[in-house]
Amino acid sequence: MNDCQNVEIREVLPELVHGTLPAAELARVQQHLVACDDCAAELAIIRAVLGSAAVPALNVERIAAAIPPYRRRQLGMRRAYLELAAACLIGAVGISTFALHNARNSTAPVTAGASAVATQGLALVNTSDLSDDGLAQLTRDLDKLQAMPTVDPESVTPAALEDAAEPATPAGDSA
Amino acid sequence: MVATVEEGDAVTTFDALDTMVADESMVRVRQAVETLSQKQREVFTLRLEQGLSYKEIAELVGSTEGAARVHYHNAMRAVKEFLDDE
Repeated sequence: MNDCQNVEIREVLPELVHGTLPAAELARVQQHLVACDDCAAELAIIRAVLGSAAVPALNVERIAAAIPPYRRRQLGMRRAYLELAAACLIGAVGISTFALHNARNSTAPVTAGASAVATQGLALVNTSDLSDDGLAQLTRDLDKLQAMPTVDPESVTPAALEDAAEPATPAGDSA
Repeated sequence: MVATVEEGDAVTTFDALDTMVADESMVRVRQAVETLSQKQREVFTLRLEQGLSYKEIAELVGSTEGAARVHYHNAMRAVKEFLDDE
């Protein structure tokens, strides 16, 4: 392979490959390439070099130079807006929690009552730790409880159970 | 028949030659580049792979525009000779 004497054409072959050649010059180079085997061969080499690049070369210096210098962002008003937004958010969460808590207390009286009974029931379990006054208070509290079963389980005798299980006497038997 | 030049033709007209060189093996071309001196290889790859001008290359490698041009053409000549000798 020889070097073409038209250095001007050879100089722009990389631009031709990268597609950065102006249209007018492109036509001129194309015309030359049709007739010049040396330039055509050199162009093929350039493409082969590009094709043989295992890893695209990175021009780190150029990339670094293209990055604009760091400037601290002005947070004056922006910071104030952010603080205001944070305060509003915290307030909204607090109000929502309070409203939810109130709504639960007002719409679930049965649950509240059951909770009280359960609490007092738990108190019965730990009577060993109570003083005399505590026991007296507990007794008074138990007296106040209204959520007692209407039927005392001990009042259900075996005889009563048998009566309940006995089938109704057919009407014809009494006749 | 008159062929019209359109955008994109520049990289497709010599596909036959491209194929010829490519078929010779991309590995050989890479080997040819590896035979270059460090400065030649640096200028050569910046010129071909990055498409930089001689002025940009000179700024990057700390040289002059003329020296970058000489390194590039010497490198191209060395690659051609390597491929011719194969």
